[in-house]
Amino acid sequence: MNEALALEQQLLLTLTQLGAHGEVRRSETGVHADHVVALRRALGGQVTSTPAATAPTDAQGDARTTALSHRLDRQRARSGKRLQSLAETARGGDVAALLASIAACHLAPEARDGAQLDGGPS
Amino acid sequence: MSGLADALQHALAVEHQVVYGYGIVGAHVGDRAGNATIRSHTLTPDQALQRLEEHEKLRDRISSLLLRLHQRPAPAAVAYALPFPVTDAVAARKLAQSLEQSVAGAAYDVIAVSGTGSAERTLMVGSLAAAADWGGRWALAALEPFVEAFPGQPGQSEESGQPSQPSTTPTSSSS
Repeated sequence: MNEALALEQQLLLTLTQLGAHGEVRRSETGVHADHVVALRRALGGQVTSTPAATAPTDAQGDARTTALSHRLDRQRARSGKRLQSLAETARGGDVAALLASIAACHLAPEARDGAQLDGGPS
Repeated sequence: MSGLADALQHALAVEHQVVYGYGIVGAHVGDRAGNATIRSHTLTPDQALQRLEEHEKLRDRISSLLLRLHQRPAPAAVAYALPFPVTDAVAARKLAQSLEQSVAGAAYDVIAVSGTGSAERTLMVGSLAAAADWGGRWALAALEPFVEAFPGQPGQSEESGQPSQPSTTPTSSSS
């Protein structure tokens, strides 16, 4: 469970680093923030606010944005698979279902494609 | 009957309905009228058939798991009433998305009552991911993408305006 939380926080950090990228990215950030909150609750932790990730203050060019987007894709796919594995072996059924659901979200195409309807592979 | 057997029977009932529903989807998803203009996210009848075959396999595996639990798998109804008329590609995509959300909900329920490392849990963890994947594909094809934070979790589908329960209802005859 702690590992799942760490994976989510990594995703959230990368999304925050991607910064001002339009509505889709902002909604995706909200989704992963929801995941963090749910996992913290499942861990029995007190949740007082949405976790804040540190955003870089340096200028971000296109190359940096592209690199971050690729990193985000890799993190999402990797965490989706890892969360599935954690779900299969989790002791409690409720926890397993939560992990499986979050994994499914990471592996779904809306998240994968960033809902970019005018691009992507055919 | 145990909680696990109940959950599996429900998942099986959903799969019966989904297999029926995908037949309808496949018949209409290739219709020209209302089809998305964005090629990369338009789903074809072949893809609907591919997913139908996956659901048939899942249905059979759930039946096998029930037999292992000494439970009699519930048979499919002769036909199912659709939640809304499906006469074109737009409605077909909507039905498919709704069916996948029902599958995700049923998988979530089985996972919640399954044992650590059990065959039931492993199967349904995969089923939940596949349902979220295909549900998202259908949403993209309908140009209505959204990021669902917790696919399958009770209460999530209502928030997104989609039904969480099976979208079809058994009817007593095929007429």
